[in-house]
Amino acid sequence: MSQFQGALSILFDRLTWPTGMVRERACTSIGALLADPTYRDAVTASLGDWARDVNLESMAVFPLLIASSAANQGWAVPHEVAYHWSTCFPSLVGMVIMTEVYPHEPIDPRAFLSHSGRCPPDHEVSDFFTRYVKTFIPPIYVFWAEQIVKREGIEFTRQWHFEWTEVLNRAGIAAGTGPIDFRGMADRDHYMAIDFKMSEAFRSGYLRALAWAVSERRLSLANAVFFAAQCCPIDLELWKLIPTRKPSWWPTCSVPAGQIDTSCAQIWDQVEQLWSLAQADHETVIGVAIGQVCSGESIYDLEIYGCLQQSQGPEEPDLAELTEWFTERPELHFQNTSPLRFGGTIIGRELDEESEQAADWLILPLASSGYIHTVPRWQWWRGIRKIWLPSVSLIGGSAEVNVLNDEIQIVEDGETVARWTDWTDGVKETVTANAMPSTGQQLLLHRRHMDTVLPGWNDSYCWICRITSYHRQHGLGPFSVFSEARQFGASRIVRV
Amino acid sequence: MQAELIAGQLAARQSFALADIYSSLAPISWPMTVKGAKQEEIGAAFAIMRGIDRIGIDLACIMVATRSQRISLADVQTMWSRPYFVPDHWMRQVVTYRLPLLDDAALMWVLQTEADKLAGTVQEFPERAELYSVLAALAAIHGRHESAKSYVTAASDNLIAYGNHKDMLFFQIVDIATACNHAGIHGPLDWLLRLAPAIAAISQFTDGDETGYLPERLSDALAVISPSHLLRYHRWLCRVEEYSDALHAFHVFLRVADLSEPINQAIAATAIDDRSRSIIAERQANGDSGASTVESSLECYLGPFRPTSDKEQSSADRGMSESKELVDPDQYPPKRFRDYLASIEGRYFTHEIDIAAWAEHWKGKGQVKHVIEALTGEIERGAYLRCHDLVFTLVCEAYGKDQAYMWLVNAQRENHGWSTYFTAKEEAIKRWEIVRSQYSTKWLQFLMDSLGPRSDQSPNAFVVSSVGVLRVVEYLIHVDQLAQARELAEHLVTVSLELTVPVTLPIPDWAVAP
Repeated sequence: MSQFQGALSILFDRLTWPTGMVRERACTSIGALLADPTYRDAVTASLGDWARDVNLESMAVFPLLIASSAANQGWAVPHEVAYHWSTCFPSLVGMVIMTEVYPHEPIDPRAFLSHSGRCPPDHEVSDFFTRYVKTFIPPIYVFWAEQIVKREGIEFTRQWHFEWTEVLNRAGIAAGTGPIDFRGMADRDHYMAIDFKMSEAFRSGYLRALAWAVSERRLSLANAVFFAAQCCPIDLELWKLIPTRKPSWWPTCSVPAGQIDTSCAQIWDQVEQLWSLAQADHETVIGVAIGQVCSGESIYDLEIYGCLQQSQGPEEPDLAELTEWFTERPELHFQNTSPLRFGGTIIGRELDEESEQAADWLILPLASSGYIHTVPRWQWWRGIRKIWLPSVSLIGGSAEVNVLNDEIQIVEDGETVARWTDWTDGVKETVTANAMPSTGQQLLLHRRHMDTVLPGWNDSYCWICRITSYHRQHGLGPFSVFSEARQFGASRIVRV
Repeated sequence: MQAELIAGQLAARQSFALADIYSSLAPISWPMTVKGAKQEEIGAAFAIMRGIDRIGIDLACIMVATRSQRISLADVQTMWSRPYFVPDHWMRQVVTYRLPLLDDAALMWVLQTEADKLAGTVQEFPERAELYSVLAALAAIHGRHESAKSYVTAASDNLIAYGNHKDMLFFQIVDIATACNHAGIHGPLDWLLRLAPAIAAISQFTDGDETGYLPERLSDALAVISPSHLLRYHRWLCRVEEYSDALHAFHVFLRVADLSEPINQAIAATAIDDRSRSIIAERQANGDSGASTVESSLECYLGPFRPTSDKEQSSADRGMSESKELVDPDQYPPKRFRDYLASIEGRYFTHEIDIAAWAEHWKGKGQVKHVIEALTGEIERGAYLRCHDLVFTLVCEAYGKDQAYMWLVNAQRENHGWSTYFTAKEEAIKRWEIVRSQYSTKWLQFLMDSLGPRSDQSPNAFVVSSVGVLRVVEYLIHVDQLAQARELAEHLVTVSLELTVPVTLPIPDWAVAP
């Protein structure tokens, strides 16, 4: 083995490393090598070998994701090469990725419906499967399997188990919890997105069961694609978007070592100053800003939700409940979009459809979180923090959500009406106990557009803010979580 | 109900099958057969099963006494097929009765089944020795003396195999391979490859305490001896999902990789765990421009690196620092050396420095012989001074190297110079350098004298513990005895592997020639 081949082998080992963030970095690195003519041939050949040997459908799509990454970095892997990779261990998620990466190439779904046939009538679901499936993969897959059983009337879970058994046998994986301890304990530092071989066996079995259901015409291809797309570990659009650095205006604080922690007060002071500055005639206003402020022995998270508020009586809402309401509102869905790509068209709605009565306040939120169809394990912090977009009540007719390399732009009638960016501030593969990751995001709304769609909005613009602090007495165990919510700019004048 | 049935059978002097007792337990959900059952429930279930075993064996004794009916092949096959039945526990109880309770077919089946099981599994050797001894007892009780002999032999093999407190030997061998490689001695890679099966199975035949770090040490050695094997080892660790060890192997790679190479930069761009980023940051701090490129790309995606804070307090913070004021040596002439020692009592960490300062002070006043007298007097009195190296230097200056030699030997022995646990290598090397430069013909004599018994010890007290073999090899290398070093290393590899002979360890494919 040459020195280069040896090094390449270790890079490919990183592709199967269990943590999602390492896999993402490996895909991006290999994509960059593919884009470099010096290494292209050797890497292409190695990827072919890798795709042939991987033995697990859910991982066999990684070369296709690398092709997607290479395309972002300036090199289009020839279709026939990628097609060969995709058919080594074909699956519906492979088909969806191929469709996305090569939208102009025809595709025959039958080539991707690989399964083991109907399971024998006496086939029984094992205790191990029932007990550990949610340990190894997110519960969404079990949820959908149960929905398929209920709605389509087919024994999907049994078929899933049957296919999973076949995958285990083929890949030589023993049914056991194996390296599960590597994940770490939930109340200490632990990996957020981690997929062991067993996880991939569960996911591959799921994909094969979907293929079986389509082959037997018990599930529509469209529905199967919907479910299969969730096995893609990353959203292809969000992947392009490079996180930025923490904005200079974002509050900071230092966690004191002594007994009295004044961090919360420091943060509130800065939020108050920010609110004062927000009154000035800047080009943009905050729709949403969320992120970690500081970390150390204690961790502080700040959320700022921009909204329009009107007081209709003396009773004020519970601000803690109000912030919860912001986070729990239904997600914003796109029209004409791919399941693997965040973004698309959003259609405007009337103000009264979006506003909420909270005690005697009428609240119109300025932002909603957008729906991400994949389970974005490779960029898990984006799934946890969500991605906030302008509320549909700020859209006149319809707007396009475009993901660029450095920001998400929301464009209506050719004019950018809002921008979204997120930042990483030393984010790691692990989080500490129940704390949030060291990331943040901001949605900035363009004032001129606000003036157009909501004349006079500035009179009722306010912030509902929450500081969440995480403390623990010792270096181990879960944090105690405390939060405090405040409003800035809310009016108590009752308008008749 | 089962008890009533059996009581009736016994009263009527009818036969009954021991297996029926165990079969009747099948409807019960035994915790030891349920994944994730609580430990206390499993413990209670084992205790209950022991009680059942006992009752069953008592009943078997009655059957032997009243009907000459022994435990049959069908009985044992049924019992062994039940997942809640614990053969080890049952056999241990049977042998305590010292009665031949099994018929021939049952006995042979049990012995064969258990021996096959032992041959096919890797577990801690003391446990295996115990199991073989149970089989030996079972065979002996039933008059199968030849079988008993072979099991006694197997028990003995396992008893003297790799066990508690011998489990650090492999560490020494791995480090010896590195030392020999550094000296240009042929063979280190071969030694590591021979050790590979034992290291791969180390957590199966030891409890993993300390030995669990052997795979990491192996990575360290491979990085130096054969980087291409490190890559193969890393791949194998990933494949068998030994991720902690694989991560260490990756860190080793990161430390040595040429980060000016684009392919290595591509690999390092995946190095996002804390330790990896620390390694890259260290390399960057040392002026490695490739590391700077990698760190920039990592920072672009992840943000600035913030290592997890180390909350461990230093020993100084914990109040272990010594605050006693320095003692003026001038107040304590050689005749009052004992008083000086009393004045520095408690200054544990600076004890040697204080004594050296005292000796230097009085040597400067022309009293070197009195200083030697004072120091050796206290040593002979049994005081623990840790100043043998100092005495050697003083005696050498005052009386010449021949008279000083034994003090060099004493320094090596009393300061545990052969032990990697107790002394720093640099300290030992200083003495070896003296041997090489001043006593070159006495290199073997020094080894024998310093390893051998003191004059007040038995002549048989010639001991090299497993923690000393590395130093011996390093010494041989230092005094230019490379052939001896190689021969010793080879021998140590063979001896260490003999400790795993009772089990057949699979060879991991990374260690097989491609």
